[in-house]
Amino acid sequence: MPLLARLSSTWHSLFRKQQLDQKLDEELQSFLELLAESKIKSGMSPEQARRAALLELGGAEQVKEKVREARIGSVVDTCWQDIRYGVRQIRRNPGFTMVAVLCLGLGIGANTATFTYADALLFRLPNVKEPDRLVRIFAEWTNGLKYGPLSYPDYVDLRDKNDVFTGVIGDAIQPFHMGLGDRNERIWGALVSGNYFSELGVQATLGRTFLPEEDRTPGTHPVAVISYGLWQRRFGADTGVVLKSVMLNGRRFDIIGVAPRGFYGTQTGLGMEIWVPMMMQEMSLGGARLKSRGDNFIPDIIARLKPGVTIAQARASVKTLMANLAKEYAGTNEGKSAELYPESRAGLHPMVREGATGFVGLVFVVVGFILLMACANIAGLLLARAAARRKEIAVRVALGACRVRLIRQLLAESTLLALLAGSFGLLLSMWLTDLLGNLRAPTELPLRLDLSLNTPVLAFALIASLGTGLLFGLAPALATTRPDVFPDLKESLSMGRGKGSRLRKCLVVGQVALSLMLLIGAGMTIRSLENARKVDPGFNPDNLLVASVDLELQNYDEAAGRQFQRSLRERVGSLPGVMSVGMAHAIPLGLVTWQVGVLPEGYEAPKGTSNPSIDCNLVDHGYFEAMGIPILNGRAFLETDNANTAPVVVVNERFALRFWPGQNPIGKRVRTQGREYQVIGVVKTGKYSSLGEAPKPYFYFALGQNYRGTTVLHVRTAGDPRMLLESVRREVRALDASLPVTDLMTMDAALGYALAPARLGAGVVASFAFLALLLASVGLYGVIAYGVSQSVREIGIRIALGGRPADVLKLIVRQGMVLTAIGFGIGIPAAMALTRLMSGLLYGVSPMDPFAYVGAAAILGLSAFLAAFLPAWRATKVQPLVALRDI
Amino acid sequence: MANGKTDLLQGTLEMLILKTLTLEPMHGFGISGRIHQITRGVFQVRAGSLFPALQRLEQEGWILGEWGESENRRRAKYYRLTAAGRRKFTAERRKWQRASLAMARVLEAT
Repeated sequence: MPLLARLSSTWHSLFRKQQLDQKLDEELQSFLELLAESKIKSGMSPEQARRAALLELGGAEQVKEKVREARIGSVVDTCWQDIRYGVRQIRRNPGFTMVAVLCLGLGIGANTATFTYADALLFRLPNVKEPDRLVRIFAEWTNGLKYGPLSYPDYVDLRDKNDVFTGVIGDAIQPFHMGLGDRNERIWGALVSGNYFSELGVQATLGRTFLPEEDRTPGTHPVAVISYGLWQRRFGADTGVVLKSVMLNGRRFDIIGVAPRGFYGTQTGLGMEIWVPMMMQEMSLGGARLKSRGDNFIPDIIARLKPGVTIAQARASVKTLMANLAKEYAGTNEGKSAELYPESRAGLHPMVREGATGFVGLVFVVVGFILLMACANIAGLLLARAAARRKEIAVRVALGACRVRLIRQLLAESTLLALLAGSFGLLLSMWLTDLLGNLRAPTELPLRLDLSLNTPVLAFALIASLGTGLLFGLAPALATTRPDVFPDLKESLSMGRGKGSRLRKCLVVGQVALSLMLLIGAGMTIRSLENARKVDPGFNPDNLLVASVDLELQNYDEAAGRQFQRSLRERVGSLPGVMSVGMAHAIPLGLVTWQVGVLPEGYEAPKGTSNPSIDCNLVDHGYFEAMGIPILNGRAFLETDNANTAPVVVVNERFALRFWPGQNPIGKRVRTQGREYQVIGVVKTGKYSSLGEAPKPYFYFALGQNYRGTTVLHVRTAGDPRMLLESVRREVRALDASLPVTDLMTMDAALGYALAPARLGAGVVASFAFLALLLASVGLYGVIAYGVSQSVREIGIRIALGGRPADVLKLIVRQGMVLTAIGFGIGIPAAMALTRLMSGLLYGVSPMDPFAYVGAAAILGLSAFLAAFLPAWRATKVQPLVALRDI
Repeated sequence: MANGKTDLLQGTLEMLILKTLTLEPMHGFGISGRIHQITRGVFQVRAGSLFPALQRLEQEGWILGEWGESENRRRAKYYRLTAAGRRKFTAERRKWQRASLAMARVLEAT
């Protein structure tokens, strides 16, 4: 019965509301009459009795409201009401809604994007069986070195002599040259132990994974498992792939299986495309690293804890084992031990993790600050609007609305607004991560982060939205419904002299200063990017083509490598349209830089310092001509500068100036790399690490005297170098059918990559500047609008007494401009400090660049003026009579 | 409920209503009058507390309201105790007696 009664009353209170209310009315009416009657009986006149009864009842509407609240389902009902009310408010103020959604959405979007990265990098576990039972084992030395690799024999001992793990996996990532069809490429993969897939619980989508015997004897089982992505990309998802083979580093491998979709190996943040047994290590790095205990080359050892074994027990066991090894093989293992970390803390290498955690934390501080600012400003706007709504609220309080209910209603509105902003922020975050994900990072490693939308990210966006809604909604809701709000309002006759308004003014001044600083910074970076295109790199980048080949990875020895380089130079040099060909170890302004300590003749390093460290490159006899680097003195390298002749170097002008000022550098000697070299030529100083750098000393070794298997071909062409891209690829193929050409592009494109960090930096500064500008404008608008709403009466009086609207306008706008001016006063010196810090990143822009300063001031000044003008203009439309009656 | 009168403890009002209704079905005004009378004016139940409490009790299924006619021929809603309400009241009374006995002992102890 009680259950039935409950159900029926819930039903009634939800769907028969009108009927219930009518009954309640009747009941109260009857109560009143009975009460009055009893009063009459005790001697009051009917008139008096009714009055007394009404008084005693204490407001029929209040009683009714209380009864309604006591009803089952009242929460659902009133929530629904609140939501409808909120939607109405939002639709009635499209301008306000847009500004709030934009401001908060940008803040939530930035936070969500940051969280997406944090989640992918730091929080997520790999896509394998029971990842929480996995631990990582790193070498640790008594001298304090940590997180190091172990040697293969150490790994084997760990694998075979423990009683705490069900299995121990070894994994070493490295690049592979994949020769396949008519397109060779360089891909990343891993050498893995035979138990890799079975221990991780990863099953092949197609074919099979490794068998134990395929990883027992060195070099006997050339088999490979490819990733789902590679299968799709290079094999067209052909199910017959398992019968095919592929050339890896010049050797044929049979494909035995395809890894499942979503499996990218066991390196957080990196994506592997191929796996081969550890025993095939010889073909990949050309050495017998599997035998030497001193060669710590396995960077990743992953073990699965046996059921019931804790990480502490496993740690003790591993330490004992390593201590025994240190005794047994004192020569290689002395001082070497190992440490265990749970997968959740070491899936990303702990050293990278430390850095990443710090960086992500810093970014969170910045974007969190932005979101807080946005909240403060929107709260300001809401407060200004709530002040205008106080009449409505007063009426509702009089009609019996209780404060909690009003607050709830106002909060429902801000929550709705926040959810709208959150949806916008989520879209923004997806766009942002997409944009950042497509950038080519300045590293060769196969970066791959899963930045797709997932439950934690969605949950974060939702929580961030709800939290913001509460944050920016609560203060105005409390302030508006404060019981003493009316006397308070009457007292504040002057523009915005409320308690909180000083704080808010300070906040706005700070925002103006910050946005000015960032706008100036953005102006500088944009100017500097413009200038960067005009910087002379010291060589002629037009009509120049570069192509890299890595003969070391392809297992060439020096003799074969030299033969290959000679043939390639000849074949490409005789292509129609090619003017000259040169080779070098690295391209200028590229990823590879190389520094050596040098001791130039007659130079003495200041006491207590080591020999100066100078950047250098290894180039052949055609290099300077192909690059268009002018020889200022002496000669370039010749084909005859080889292993049989005296060692020589070419230095740049700056090198000569620094070590032998006023002397002829030709014939001087330089000691480096354990040999003595003679200077035979001086070339023009160029740019080597960044376009913004100051002139620095640089020198060149002769490739003929110092062999390198990784080289970049530089091809000077008569016409458009892009016409020759395919011809160069063809010539390389003709010499070695499975050798990939990497980074085949024009020098212009290569320099584009050199500028990418600067472009990214400019983009980041510009976006933050835009955000800050938006926030400052909204904040200023909020403060002024609030001030106006607080002094409608004052404005009314002024206008009633004959004040001209123009004067009122001036008065209010002036207040906004004063705040802006103070912000400028702080922002300009701050910007000077910032730009001085940035000067190292700027190409030929003075830290006092007038364009940036004037431009930024103009943009900000105009926005601030508009932000102050709008509410002021609205204030002059106030009808004096309405204004005076209003309060 | 202020003005020198004692405030009702949380949940007490509902028990008082149940007690009042054990005697006979009554309308809202009657209940408030009876409580006033029995407690000799210590507890004065205002409409703002009475009606929400009646609402709650009815929802729980402990009392049932029916429209009827009053002694002087006015329409009024009469509440009567249901079987569940009676059980509830017995249980509550036992609890109260135990609690007040304990309270009294504590306060009398020296």
